[in-house]
Amino acid sequence: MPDTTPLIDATGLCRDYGALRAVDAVDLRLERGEIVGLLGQNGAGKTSTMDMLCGVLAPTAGAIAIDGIDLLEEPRRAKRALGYLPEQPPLYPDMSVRGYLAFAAALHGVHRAGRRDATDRAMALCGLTDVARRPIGNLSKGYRQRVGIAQAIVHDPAAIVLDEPTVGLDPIQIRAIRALIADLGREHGIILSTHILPEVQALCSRVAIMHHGRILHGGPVSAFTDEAASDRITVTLRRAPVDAEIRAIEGVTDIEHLGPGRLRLRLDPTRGTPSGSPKPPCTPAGGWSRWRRTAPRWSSSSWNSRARIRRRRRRHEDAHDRCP
Amino acid sequence: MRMLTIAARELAGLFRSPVAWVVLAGAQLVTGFIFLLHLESYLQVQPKLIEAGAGPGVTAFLVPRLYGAAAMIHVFAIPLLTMQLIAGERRLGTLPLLLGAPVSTLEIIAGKFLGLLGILLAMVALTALMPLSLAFFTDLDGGAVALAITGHLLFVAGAGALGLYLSTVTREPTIAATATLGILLALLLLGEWGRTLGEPWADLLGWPAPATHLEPFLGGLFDSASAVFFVLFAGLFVTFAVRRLDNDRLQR
Repeated sequence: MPDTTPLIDATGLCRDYGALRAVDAVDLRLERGEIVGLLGQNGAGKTSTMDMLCGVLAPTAGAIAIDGIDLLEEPRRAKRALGYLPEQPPLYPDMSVRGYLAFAAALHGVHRAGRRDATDRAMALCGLTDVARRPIGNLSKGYRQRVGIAQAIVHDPAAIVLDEPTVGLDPIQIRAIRALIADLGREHGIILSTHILPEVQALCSRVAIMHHGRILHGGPVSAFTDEAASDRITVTLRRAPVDAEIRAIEGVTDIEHLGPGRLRLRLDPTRGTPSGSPKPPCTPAGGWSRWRRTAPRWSSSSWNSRARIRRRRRRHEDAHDRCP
Repeated sequence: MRMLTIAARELAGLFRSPVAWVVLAGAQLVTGFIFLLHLESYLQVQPKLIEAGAGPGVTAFLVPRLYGAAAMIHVFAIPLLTMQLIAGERRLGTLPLLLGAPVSTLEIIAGKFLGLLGILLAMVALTALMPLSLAFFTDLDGGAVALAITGHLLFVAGAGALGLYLSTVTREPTIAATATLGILLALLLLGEWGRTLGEPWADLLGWPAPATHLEPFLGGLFDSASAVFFVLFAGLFVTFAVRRLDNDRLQR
């Protein structure tokens, strides 16, 4: 029977720094064989969340189970199933790549007999075999990042946590590291944090969007590209009809008034796939002059704060409305 | 046995860095010079001592003077060895590797302390070479030398534990080193000041100073209270270091 225990199951994670709540009631799950992207701006609380998942930082509140083992109750057992690459790779510049990975393996409880194999395997996976004897301090940034990832997988953990693994790399290095992560994702569960949306689209099966310490959205990455998967739409109408008329449209379950003429419609997730945008019921009697649908939009280059998106959308719509 | 893994890496790391070599060489050079100076003065007073028919032998004359000076020199050397222990990890950003690994904070600190003890042991051994070299030419009081070595080891271990603790407090190694040196010197000076004030101040102000508790060992006396003092001193600061590192996880 396949093991269905989630690799990482965090519930209600909170983290306070003094009066500041950096992470607020975050729930995060990682199943076997999936890559979850934690997407958010700098300062959204991604690093704090990842530090907590890996036992580097104690949560103010909440529970974390790694492969079914409580991280706070039994940190030693739980951490064995974890590999962590912090934002700044934890490298000792004076050590050789092989020596460092052997140290990391020993630290994670790989027995002496298996240590050589473990380091060889990690180096082969990360393309480090050629630089095995070089001191880490002499390596380029791309190689260092690979050593950092090798360190996280040397003990063959079930779950890997990568904090901004491609930050500061050149495009070729980014492609290589992404390919490596995609490879690893076939055998391990991976949580990776980033502020780059295409990275999530390229790698992840699921995404959790974080802002101001909260998870604003969690779901499959396909939701970004597949508009049918969204369960809410915002419409702007020049002359909005009474609610009852809108409710009469098939699939609409709820209406929220956002402003004059602006409505957010909640849609029945089980509705049939609409063909394109919903058909505007242009009945002259109703006097609806415009039906404009605005599905959630995300910048293609980087993730923007919701506020900015909202502002831009509003500008866009205002312009639209002024048109005859 | 992950504690030993950490200790081995620490020791290897210390010996890979030039700092340890320079510190060991510098301390050895100065201590050696002082040793020769005292040996010379012993040779000068020796005829008079023989004439008087009594007086200290070479061990009793040389060992307290040599180790007194060595302890003083090592007060300056030890902060340079301890400053990197945790503060260096903080600067390099390697602490998450240790904190994220299945090891307890106690194991991390104990490993660090053991690694440090390795290099301190080298320091003690290098110093011990000096009086022991006299064994080629004369009879030494083996017991007295062994006690002095024991006292010296306890002394450097205590000072090292203080340095380790202060290294957990900051991320700047230089601050850790300066603070360690400052506290060790302050304790020493407090003891000296107490001595000038007479009783009961001498006992009171001298008690917290490691140097005070080194004295009986140098005089050929195994003072169990002093031995316990060093163990407590080192244990206290190792415990503080564990707590401070735990605090990193909790507060930061």
